Amino acid sequence: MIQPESAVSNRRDLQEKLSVLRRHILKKADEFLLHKDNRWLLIWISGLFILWIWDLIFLNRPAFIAVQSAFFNTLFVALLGSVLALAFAWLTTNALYFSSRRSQHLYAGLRFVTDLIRSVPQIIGILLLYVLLTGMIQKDMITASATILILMALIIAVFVFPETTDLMLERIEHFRRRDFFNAMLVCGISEWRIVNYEILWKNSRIHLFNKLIAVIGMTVFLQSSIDFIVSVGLSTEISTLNFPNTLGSLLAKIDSKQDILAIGHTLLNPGYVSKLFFNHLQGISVAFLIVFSLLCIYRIADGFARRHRI
Amino acid sequence: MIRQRLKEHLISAVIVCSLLLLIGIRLAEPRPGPVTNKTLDKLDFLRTDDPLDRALLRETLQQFYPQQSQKADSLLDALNEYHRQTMLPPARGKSYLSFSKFFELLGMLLKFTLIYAIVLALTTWGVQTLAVWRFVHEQQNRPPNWWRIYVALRKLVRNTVERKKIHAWLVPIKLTVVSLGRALFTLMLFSPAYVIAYSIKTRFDTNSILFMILLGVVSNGLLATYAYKFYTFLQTESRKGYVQTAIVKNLSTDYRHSMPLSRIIKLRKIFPGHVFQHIFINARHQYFATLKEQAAFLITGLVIIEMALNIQGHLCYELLQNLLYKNFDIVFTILAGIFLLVKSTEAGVDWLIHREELKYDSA
Repeated sequence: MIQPESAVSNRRDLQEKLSVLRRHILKKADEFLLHKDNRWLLIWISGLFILWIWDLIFLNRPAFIAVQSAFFNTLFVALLGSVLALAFAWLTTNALYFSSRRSQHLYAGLRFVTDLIRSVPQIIGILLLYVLLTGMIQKDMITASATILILMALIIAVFVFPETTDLMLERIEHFRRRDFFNAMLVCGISEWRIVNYEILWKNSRIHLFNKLIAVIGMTVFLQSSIDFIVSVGLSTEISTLNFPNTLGSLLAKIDSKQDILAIGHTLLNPGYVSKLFFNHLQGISVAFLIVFSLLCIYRIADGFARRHRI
Repeated sequence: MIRQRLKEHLISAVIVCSLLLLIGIRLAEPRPGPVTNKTLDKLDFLRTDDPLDRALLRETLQQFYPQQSQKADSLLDALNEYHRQTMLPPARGKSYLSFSKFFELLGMLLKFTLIYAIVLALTTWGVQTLAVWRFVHEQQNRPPNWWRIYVALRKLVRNTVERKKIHAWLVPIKLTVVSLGRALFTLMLFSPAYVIAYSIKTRFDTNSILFMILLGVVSNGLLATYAYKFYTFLQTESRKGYVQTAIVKNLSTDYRHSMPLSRIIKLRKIFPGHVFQHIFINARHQYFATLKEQAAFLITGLVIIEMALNIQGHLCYELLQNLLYKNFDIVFTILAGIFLLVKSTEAGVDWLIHREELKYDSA
């Protein structure tokens, strides 16, 4: 049967459009994958997706739900913690910068407080505030999981923001030496606007975003560690049932610990390795999620810094 | 300037440590003291732990003070409570800061400081070595291992004569093993200490000091993070104008033959006649400023190791246990000790930077 000429032409048009679209997608994919940060972002997401599929098939349903909720809770705390750290850093930078020009006493006081926060090892500071948080949970002052997660993010942010403050102060100091700073002042632009908009927003956004990625990694690490410590060392004090599930607390559970201990058994019995991915999936999944996420976040930050030559 | 900085550290250390000790003493639960009564002390024949003597005492008091039976009851209650406390074993985990406890904590702090100093020295060397190795490796422009494996395999597939020889397969196998080892090492660098420790707990003694040192160096992402920072400094320096001037002045830029691994891993890194010597010195100068941050992160790592692995007899395990049993006087004493350690490191780093600056100023 002979097809009508218009149908053939429509089909040819469609094929051509599809080919153009395919070329466009491939070009965009090429451009996307050209950068190391994008590549690692893709690797991270793909790795998580493969693990999710694997766990969906081979992990028992309650454990699967626990791992899933733990990952999302940890990610939520990490993202919120980083944003809060950025906000604290921005406020502190402004407070330090403007107080140094107006009141030396206020500046000395603020500097003392920020130096003090910096000098307290992060994990100890967070642990002490976690004890307070536990007290609040025990007295039923906080019951909602979301509130607990937000407070966890807040606590971690308090101890990770000084690094970002240092970066912001460094950027301001760098630009203050340039002519444009004084030129803008002479033009009547307020110093507040120059510092916050011209320097920090317009000229340091990329640096701050890179720092934000690094802080996400740091927050994941600190949160996993503190939840592990709290679940292992303070378990009689804190009921793990009251705390939302996180990767650290899930790893501290006896099932997960036994799964991790099985890795040691595999060192002398290599034949056991296949069982690790079926019989010990909960602990292995949680440990993998922590380590793989930390590695990928580090690589993304590294790639981002390289791409923008920071 | 340096004196001012050191003074600031000293003032900060004194204020914070005093505050911590005061808070600890204030938060500490009162120690049960003996019931003392001057009149009762004189009655040395009275055995207050004997029910008969107690009953006699009650009757006597009622005879003498018939209107104040409540006073007699409260005195006897206090006596009972005193006996209960002296007879019962102390509450589990409950302890108080005494001289012996203080010296025990001091010993633990010294042990912690020793481990910390060793790990700091090892990581400082490791950070510089890893960063230099990465920088040199990049300058050498060698193709990545996966590409070399692919090329070697393609060659073997195409060459039917070669692929029958066993030694021809050695190159891709060796490269694969090296790549796998490197991937495993990278994963280990990013693993939290407790993941590594639990993975090998059944095979090794994870409570030994040596293991703690090893774990402190390779885990928690410390080495990777700061090696990356040092590497960034190296890269920034390599782009500066003075490097071009040095090249024009005929300094070597050969990274393939004059930068062997043996030179890179040396404790004292010297690259005479090479442009990298200047890049390295300037990058190291900037790295010193991040040492404070690295030291604080290292302490965090060591605290995590001691707490997460429940290494008994160590300072941070003691801290966690006392936090659990609310012995706040001990908790805050330990915190004061750790704070002193951090401040000493900060003062040390400031002095180191000052010394470096003097060296260049005088030059």
